[in-house]
Amino acid sequence: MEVPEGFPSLGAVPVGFGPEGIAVDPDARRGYVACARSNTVAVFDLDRREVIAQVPVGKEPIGLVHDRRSGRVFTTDARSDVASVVDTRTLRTIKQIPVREYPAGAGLYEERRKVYVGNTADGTVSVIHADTLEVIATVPAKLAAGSLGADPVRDRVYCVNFGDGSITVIDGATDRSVGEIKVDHAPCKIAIDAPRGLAYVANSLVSTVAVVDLERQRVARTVPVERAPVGMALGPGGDRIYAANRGTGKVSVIDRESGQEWARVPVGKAPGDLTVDPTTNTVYVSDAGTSTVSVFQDRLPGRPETLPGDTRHPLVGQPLPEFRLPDMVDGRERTSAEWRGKSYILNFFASW
Amino acid sequence: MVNVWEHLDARQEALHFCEVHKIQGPVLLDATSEYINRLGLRGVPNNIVVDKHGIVQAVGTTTPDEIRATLTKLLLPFG
Repeated sequence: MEVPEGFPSLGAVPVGFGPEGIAVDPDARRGYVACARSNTVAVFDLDRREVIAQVPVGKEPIGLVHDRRSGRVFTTDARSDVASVVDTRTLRTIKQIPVREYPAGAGLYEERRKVYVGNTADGTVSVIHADTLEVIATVPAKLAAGSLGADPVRDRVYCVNFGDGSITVIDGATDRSVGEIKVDHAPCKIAIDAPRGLAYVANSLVSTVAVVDLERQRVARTVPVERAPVGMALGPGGDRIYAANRGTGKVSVIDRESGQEWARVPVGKAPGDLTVDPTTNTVYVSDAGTSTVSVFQDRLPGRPETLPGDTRHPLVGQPLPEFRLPDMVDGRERTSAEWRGKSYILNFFASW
Repeated sequence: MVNVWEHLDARQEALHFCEVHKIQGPVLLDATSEYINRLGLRGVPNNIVVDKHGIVQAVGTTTPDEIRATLTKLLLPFG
């Protein structure tokens, strides 16, 4: 697998099954990742790139945020309908806070001491106080509300509604819904650059990133990326963003100003969430398909000489390799011979 | 449809998923992921469009528009 110049790989850390939401604490040199199929938070050392502990939380933890002030990690446990609170000093789950149905997204408003939970099946947002650990509000959002981000400059919190192609705008002080922004199909994740008044939204089903003007409260432009962008993070230098493409196993590095893709970095399979340690310019990516956290450093100073082009998969133009696989329902063997002489689409999927 | 990269019981996970999303049509289990790895695919969801001669015409098309475009090409007399 070709690694583009400027992005040395630092390997992959085996964590629990199905890693999703990820965060780093650069001062403590630790990373935290929600392992959705192990029902744990894997705690790993950022420099040694080793797991230190696996802390049991609720079922199917997906969203994860780290609150530096309280030293707590919050996960949204989708199949338990709770938010779990992990004390990072003792590495124990100290509380499980009931929220609403299928909480899959999380956001932190550190200044106002609030953790926001997107209740995906319920279309609402639960607001938890990060210090008292009580639910202080429930905000109506739209279908499949999920990922959230805070804008302390304008005092707003943005909730991405996967099923509605919209963003619900929440007042950061009152926790009331104050507006809505239309985006493209299936918006999956939002990353907010408050000082510049911009937000970036991964639209997973149409493979684009929408750039949202937070002052004008609308989409300023749309950038095409690879297949199914699911995770997103801002580059610390302020000039680029990273989008994890779940469909191709690569991270797109995108120039913010031009929307141009500067590089595609191969990581593990089916990557989801990702985050950056700004002190070392190192990117940590949850590889849901390989149950690892891929690590690479960004050493690219600026626009590279060669940009990634359109890559045709090597299979195109070749005969499909024969398959011989059991049928899910009755277990009998099915082979490609059954479909000889017919055109068809072979769709690969995972339950997550 | 081919189910891949499950961590626990592939058949249970796949059955549940198909029930929730009301999926019909044959679903095959690539429980060891041997097939998808052999094909060199690195992400999900992924679609491979195969023509009636068994030749792969497209890999990765995920949007309805892209699939429609590829199928239209396939149905042309010279495709």
